[in-house]
Amino acid sequence: MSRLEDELRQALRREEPPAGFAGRVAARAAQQEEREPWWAALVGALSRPPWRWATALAMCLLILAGVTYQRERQRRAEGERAKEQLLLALQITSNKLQMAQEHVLGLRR
Amino acid sequence: MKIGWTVVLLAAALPVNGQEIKFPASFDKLAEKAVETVDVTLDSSLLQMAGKFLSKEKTDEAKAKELISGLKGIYVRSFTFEKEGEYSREDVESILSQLKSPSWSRIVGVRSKVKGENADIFLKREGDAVMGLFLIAAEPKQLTVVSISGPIKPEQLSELGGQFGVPEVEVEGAPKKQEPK
Repeated sequence: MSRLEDELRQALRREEPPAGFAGRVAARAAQQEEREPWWAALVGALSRPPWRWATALAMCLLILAGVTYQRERQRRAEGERAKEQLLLALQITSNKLQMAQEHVLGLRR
Repeated sequence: MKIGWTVVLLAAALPVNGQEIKFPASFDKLAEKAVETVDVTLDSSLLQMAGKFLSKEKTDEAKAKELISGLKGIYVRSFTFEKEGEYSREDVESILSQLKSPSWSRIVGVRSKVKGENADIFLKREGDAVMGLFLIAAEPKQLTVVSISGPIKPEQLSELGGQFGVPEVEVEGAPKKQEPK
């Protein structure tokens, strides 16, 4: 046998995997399958120190904007209702004053 | 104990929310009988709020804005009934009795036997100023009560002629509107 053949046989000889290799492969495969969703990854990223305060501030601003918008909407609705009531009150007043005046002027008997 | 009752009675006699003329409890019963009820209660804060939503461009609203500035309240109750005789003279009297104080004076009193329409207009005077208007219109199927509390310029009523259908009511001391030439 030539020396080359010996070297090839030596290089391609069957080797047993190190102990626990199969278990580690199976564990890595399972980890890949249970990868966290994108939002969880985002929350994780944003809760890390540099982003934590910025995220909290943004959330506070968002809540504040929501509350302000809701209050403004409510105030506008109340204002419009008060305006309608006022115009109705003035209309009724005017109608009754009109009636009284027509009687006074003798236009209505 | 006596002091306690006195405080309670005095508190009951005070105007509610600045409303000078208190509407009687019998009005609640009238509301039940009426086919249509209008109940407007606008205190000074609501009037201010309404004023902010009145447009300066629209003539009616601009006049209303001017009229309500300084007012303490506008209170309206109007009951429309299906049949005649659903309200009694007592319902009207209980309100008129509150207007017997010297500060109130009746400027218009209408009694129409033909149509059965009665109307009274009262003004509250403090010196030369008019500080309130009260109107009660009793028609066969309708009873309307309007109470306006606060300073009202008599000429404002005249100015409102044509606005909201308000006629030119001639009030003693009010300058007459110039006729357009």
